[in-house]
Amino acid sequence: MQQIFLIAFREAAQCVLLLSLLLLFPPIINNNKYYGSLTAGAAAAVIAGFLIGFNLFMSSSMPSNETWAFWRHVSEAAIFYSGLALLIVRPKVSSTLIYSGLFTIGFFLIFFESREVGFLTLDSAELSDNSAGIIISAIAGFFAGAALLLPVIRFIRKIARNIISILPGFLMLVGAWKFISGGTGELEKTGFFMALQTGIMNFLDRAVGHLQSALLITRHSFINAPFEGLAVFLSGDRMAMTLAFIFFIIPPVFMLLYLFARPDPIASEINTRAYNRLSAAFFRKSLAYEAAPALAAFIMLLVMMHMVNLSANPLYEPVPMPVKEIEGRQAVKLPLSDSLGHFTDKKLRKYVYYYGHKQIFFIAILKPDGSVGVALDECEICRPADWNKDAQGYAQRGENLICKYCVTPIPVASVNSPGGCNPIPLPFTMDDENIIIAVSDLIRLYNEVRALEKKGSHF
Amino acid sequence: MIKRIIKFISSWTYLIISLLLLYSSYAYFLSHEKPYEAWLSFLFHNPAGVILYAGLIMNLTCINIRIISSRIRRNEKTCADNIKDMDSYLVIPSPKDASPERACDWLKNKGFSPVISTNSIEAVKGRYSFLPGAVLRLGLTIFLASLLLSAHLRQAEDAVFKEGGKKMISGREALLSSVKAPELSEFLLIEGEDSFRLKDVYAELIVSGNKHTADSGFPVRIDDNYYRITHLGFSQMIDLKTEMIQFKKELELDVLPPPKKDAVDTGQNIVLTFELQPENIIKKGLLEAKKFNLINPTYYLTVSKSADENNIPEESLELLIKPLDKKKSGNYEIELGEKALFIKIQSVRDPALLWIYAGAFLSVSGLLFMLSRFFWYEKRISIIVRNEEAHIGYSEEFYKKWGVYKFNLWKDDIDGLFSESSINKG
Repeated sequence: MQQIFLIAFREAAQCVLLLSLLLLFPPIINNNKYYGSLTAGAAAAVIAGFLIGFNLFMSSSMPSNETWAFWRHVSEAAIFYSGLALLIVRPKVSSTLIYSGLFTIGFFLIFFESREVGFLTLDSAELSDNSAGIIISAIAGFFAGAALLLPVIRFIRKIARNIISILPGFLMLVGAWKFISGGTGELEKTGFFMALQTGIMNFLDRAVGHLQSALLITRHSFINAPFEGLAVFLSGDRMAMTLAFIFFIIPPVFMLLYLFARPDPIASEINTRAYNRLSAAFFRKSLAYEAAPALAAFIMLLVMMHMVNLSANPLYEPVPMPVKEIEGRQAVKLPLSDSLGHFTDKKLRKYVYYYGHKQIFFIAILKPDGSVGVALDECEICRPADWNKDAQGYAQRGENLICKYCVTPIPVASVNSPGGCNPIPLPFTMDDENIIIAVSDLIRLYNEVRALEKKGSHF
Repeated sequence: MIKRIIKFISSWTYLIISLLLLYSSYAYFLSHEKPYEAWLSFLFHNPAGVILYAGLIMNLTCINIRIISSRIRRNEKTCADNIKDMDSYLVIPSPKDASPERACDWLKNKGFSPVISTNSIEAVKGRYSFLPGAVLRLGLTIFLASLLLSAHLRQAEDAVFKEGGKKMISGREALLSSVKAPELSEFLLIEGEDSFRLKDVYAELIVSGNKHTADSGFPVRIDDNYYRITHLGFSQMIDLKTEMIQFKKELELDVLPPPKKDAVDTGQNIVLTFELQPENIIKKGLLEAKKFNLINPTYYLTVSKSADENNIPEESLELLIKPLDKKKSGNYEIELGEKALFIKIQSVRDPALLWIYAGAFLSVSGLLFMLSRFFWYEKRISIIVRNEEAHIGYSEEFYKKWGVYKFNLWKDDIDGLFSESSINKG
């Protein structure tokens, strides 16, 4: 019950945030009819979305969550690009159309999240003995989150008087925020950016193939076709990521260029210097207010895309496997084939040897030339603090090891070579099935590194 | 009414609506197993799709015509009323006997090409800067239209040829006199890598008594058809004898790239599975590489009886055998003939193919040409003298704010050409 309360509260609070962004546009907050249309749309979305998600009508032909997610993405893109469309077209519309437009925006801001909360409520209710309690928790959570709207509106009414801005900027900001926070994390694991990138990549792959077929230069599994490299590049994930990036970045960039490209006001006709300065100051202030939402949207989208890019290319860092001395020998043995696979899979392997109360971390990996690289899991240069565990050692990304402290990529081929950001090489020998490291070498190197740390200099 | 329709069809709004409709139609097919193919089928074969597609082509054409005609028309005529609508606008007194030559010299110094008419001077820089966009739109129009035509008119046929073999293809008899694959000599398969690539495959074809060379690159035109090599493999004669059966046939073995297997059903309850066997294995550290001889390959041949009623296949025989080898094992006697190459040739009859190439070339050229638009765009100065006043207007196609600044910097020069000035900004 607590979980569904928190989910409903969280989604309601997000909805309040989205509505507040739009309410910052003075004509909306200061005009009761506009404000009423927007909030009426939001309220209708809450009720309709929750009931549909809860499947109150017991319909068996409800679209799947994936289909709902697709249409949510479409609505988010529509809100985002509507800002740009309004900026370019500048339609002259009647009041009725404005009310309907605001109602529609308010509705689609909230509808899909409300549906997902309804769906999660239904899901929790079916798994619980206390269905009524679950439903009441969800509704209570939602009202608790929505109650935040009242103090927010009071605050906005105070500050909105001083804001000079344009609606397109706020629509763009709301759309950008929806891209980042849209949907519930419980139902959807991938965001809009990844979904868009995947969709573009699938489309490009088929489209490029079709184009090659039309030009009679079809791809083959082992015979080179003309312009094959170009076709592979155009249908690759880099191109898809670039196009997805362009999709997000063009509207705020265009809006900022449009705002800043407007000519400055002509002040030479104004004889009084004070009025001259006032005119220029007013122009700059209005420019700042108008550009602020688009700039905020731009920064938010940049951060979002960077985070998505990082999560799509995660560092591979295995859990260190504890190793012990071989019986009767002062050496540790690393099998070439273990529960994680064989060394020829070219994945990084980490190990830990317990030396009294201390832990000695070291790594092993297959190099491109087929030989094995073995080294301590630290480098000569980077010395992160003891408490900063996340920055210690190496992780793997593709053909490189990445120093987690300085994020330098180190080619796997250079493991076993000392110096620079390379991991400190560890002497080892091999038999048919194992890598063998003398414990004395392990401890000696570890102690040397610790001694160097105290001195404050490097090898 | 018709004018409004034409204006709408030649507008950017129609283009955006078309693109949104195209996207919507693609989104509709996303739930299909093969969404792109289903969408193409809709666009090229469904009346609604064809109308949408043709509308887009028409829109691109109309936009092109509109832009080119408006740019050319503007070049011919200086419109006095238009000066006030320009980005910057200046009115200064002009003496009655003011000569246009000073203004023309100044304009020429600034890189403009002035054209003098009665009481007016029109000077333009970047007159033909509409060309990159025109080329791009033209290329896209040709490309899209030819794709639509090709979807309806293209006839394709595939045929497998062995070296020295004759076959009918697209109604003509063709003889494959030779096949060359220069890189098909040996191959080193390194563990975990997929690196088997052939740069080129050539074939000498004799069609209608004439010699032609087809390859795996661009198609070659022979009469009205286009020919291209689309696959390559080994052609192997096999003679299999048992007490009960005899099987002698030239097989087309699809065993490239190694270690690909190809199973051949003899139709007599026996299945032959061929796989290329490496000549030797090279070890480097922990990595293993297999070296395959592709000129005189060794086959790993499995002879198995087809699955019985209980669906249990019976493995009968496994052996290594090379071309021209003869081997006997148990009841089986197997002899391989000489190894040759077979190729698959695609013959396509498509009257729109050349237009597809032309459209693709123009589109790519136009796209690259468009990069010049960052610095190549129209700049226009219009001067009209009437009632002892010179009306001077200046416009730039892009970067309008900088154009206004530039014109303000020229103010003093312009004042010097005429006597006094007062500034109005358009």
